Amino acid sequence: MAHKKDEELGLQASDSILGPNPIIGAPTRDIISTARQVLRQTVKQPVHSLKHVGRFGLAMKDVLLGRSEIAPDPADKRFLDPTWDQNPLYRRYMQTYLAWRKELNSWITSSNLPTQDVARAQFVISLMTEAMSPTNTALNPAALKRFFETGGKSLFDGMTHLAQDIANNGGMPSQVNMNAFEVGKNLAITKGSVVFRNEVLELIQYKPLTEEVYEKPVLVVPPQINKFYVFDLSPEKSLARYLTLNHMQTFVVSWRNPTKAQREWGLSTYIEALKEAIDIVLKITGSKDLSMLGACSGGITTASLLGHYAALKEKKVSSFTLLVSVLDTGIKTQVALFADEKSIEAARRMSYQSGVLEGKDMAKIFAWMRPNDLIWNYWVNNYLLGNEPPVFDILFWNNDTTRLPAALHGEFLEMFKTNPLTRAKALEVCGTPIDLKQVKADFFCIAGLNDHITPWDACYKSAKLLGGKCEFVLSSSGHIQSILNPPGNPKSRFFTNTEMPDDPKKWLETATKQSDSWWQYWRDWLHARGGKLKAAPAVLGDDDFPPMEAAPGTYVHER
Amino acid sequence: MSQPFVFRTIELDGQVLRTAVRPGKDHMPPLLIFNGIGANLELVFPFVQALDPEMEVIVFDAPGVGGSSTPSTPFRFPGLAKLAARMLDYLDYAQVNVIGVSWGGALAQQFAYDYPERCKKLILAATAAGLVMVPGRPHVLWKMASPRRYLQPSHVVKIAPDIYGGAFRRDPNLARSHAAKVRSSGKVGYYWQLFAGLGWTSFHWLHKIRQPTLILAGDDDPIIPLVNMRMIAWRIPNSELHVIDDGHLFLVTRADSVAPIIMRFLAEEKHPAVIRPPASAVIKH
Repeated sequence: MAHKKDEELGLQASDSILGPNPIIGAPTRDIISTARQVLRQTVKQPVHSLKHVGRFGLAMKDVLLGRSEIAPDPADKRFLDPTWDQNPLYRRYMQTYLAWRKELNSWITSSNLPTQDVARAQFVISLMTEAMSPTNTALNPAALKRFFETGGKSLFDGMTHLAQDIANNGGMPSQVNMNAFEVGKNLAITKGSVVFRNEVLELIQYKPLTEEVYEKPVLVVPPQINKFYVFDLSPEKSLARYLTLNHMQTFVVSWRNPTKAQREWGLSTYIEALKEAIDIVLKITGSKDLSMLGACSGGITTASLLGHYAALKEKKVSSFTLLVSVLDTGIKTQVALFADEKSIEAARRMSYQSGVLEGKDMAKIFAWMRPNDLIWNYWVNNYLLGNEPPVFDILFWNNDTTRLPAALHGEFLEMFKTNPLTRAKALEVCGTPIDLKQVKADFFCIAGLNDHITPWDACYKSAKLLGGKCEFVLSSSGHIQSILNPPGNPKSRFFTNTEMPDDPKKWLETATKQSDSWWQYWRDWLHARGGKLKAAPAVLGDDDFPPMEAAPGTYVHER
Repeated sequence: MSQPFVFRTIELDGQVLRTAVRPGKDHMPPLLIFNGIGANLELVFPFVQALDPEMEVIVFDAPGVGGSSTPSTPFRFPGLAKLAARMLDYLDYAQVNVIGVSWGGALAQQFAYDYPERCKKLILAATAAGLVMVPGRPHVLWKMASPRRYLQPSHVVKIAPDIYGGAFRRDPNLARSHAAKVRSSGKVGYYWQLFAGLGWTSFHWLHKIRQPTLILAGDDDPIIPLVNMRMIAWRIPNSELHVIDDGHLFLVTRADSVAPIIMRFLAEEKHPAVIRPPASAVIKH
């Protein structure tokens, strides 16, 4: 009975979850139409389909007779509980599921659909099969054990969590206990001050922690989509603190969270604001040029700014770093599966009409791209086991989303579609056409091997677009973990290579594997380009731009 | 200095329309004005002059008003919206911003709803949702039901404080200068316009208007009491309401303070990014 009820609730929840997809139009509609196509395929290729039904039947026979060898992927953490393997009934249940999933996948992969449709169908089928996993049901042995251990309290707690999430979290299982953290209290606490503020950004200068600093400061440009404090999460996981500890004068931009009044802010608005910030950093530090770091969409902004500077023959940026940034959208990611012209247009219209793209909606899409890690995991934990959502700083940051102004979103969509950064003068910002090949400064490029948002080969291709000398480094982790990669983690690895062959695969084959974090390697790269060492300034800001308020400032708190 | 108007009289399916365009620069979408009932296009000139001189503005006389011909059978609002779209085709405009005043506000709602792709942003001034509205006081509406104020200029001066409220209550010269600009083509045109709105309402589809919408209301508006504008603001999802301390014709009497609000709402980025598609043009998906 509980099982049935659970499924109903799941259906209800998924109703509110599969809302409109802001990046790529309305996926509910697209997903339904793909699902329909999948169903039609059963009829269109009856022989093919029957063959797979037959194979599934044979596999089932083995499963029921207890002779099947099929087992979950050892990396799949869902079936870790020994009950799945030892209890004959559970073993059969799990194997039925695995055999069904496997057959369904091989059926669609070997069907005669066009490649793009196969990719979409695989995505839809995986959404369905992951949702149907036996571990997501109340029969999950861990959940049953917990139920008896707690005398049923776990079920009560789980249902309470579910009700709370339906009411407060758009039907998505909460990934994190949002009450455990507070920005400025236990997150983003590296000492510094806001030294400048305009409509678009706050400029934070961090207090030097060394007696001597390198002449050339570094300015960090975070993505517009997230809060800046991913660069200063906790004292251990803080790139800002790491830089200040390593003789770098560190400035970080904190973007304002736009509302619909800022609907018309586009790439040029952000670049103008950055230009202002750069001038102020140069004035405060007395340096004639600086180093920049742009991450994700902040990297797109930084690259466009550099192209704009190159067109103006400005030499204010002597070196820069691109962090998990895709400039060449020629390589299609999973995000792009449903992005055809119509859905891009619909997405653009939708955000323009509402004024902003809600970060929450975007987070949902990323969650559905990795449902096992980002959804079903919490489904089991919060509802079936009745546990509180975990206390985890990265997830808190990830859930503290920001909005994207409609115009910028529209421009990103258009760039995604027409890929203008790969062609000289195809993009014009702040009134100048740009050509990335004219950007001649040395640069450092970091990508993550397991990054599903900005795949590393796309980052690699992007690095080839710029005119300067490139140091490409591949970190062994994912999108966010690539940024939050403090030294000392025994699992951290990164790859370097002095050559930049055209084929990313070849690059990886000939790359050198290095242990620990890329942070140290990057620090040395920055030092080599930092100019002379000089005494650290005693105060933050200067006479014209005195400290206004302590970091993390005001904009970061705007929800 | 704002440029002079370019007048054109065009014919669409036997309907003659008198149009005036104030040329502007092409970095912002032009603004199409739907005027109030019985009002010829000259009446909005002071308002147009208060707007940014770089913005292109399109005004026209509705059928039966000013220099436009009076049709033999009356239009309804959907028909008028279609006529406006055809006029834009003829004048070669793809997408415009739209402002509708009073009766023209109803037409603007209809236009935004019927042609969402052609209407980028919507501004509604001193208007209502038609049948579902809180009416003004009966004697005001009674005066509105007659075109006499347009046919006999001296009459306007007499009734203006009552029907327009706001500044007209304080300044008799305002009514006189208003009267001087009035040019009517006759009673029939006025009645046809009244007929267009007879039984019409937008209330049941207002929530489907998705355009960013600015709603301007006078707090002393005898014709359309403020509560109507509040209702429209509540129904249109992406809307913001501004209440102005004036009567029904604040667009004319308070042009200098209203124009900046409108310009702020219509403002676009100064140097929007230009993104050129690849030469091969067609992208396969």
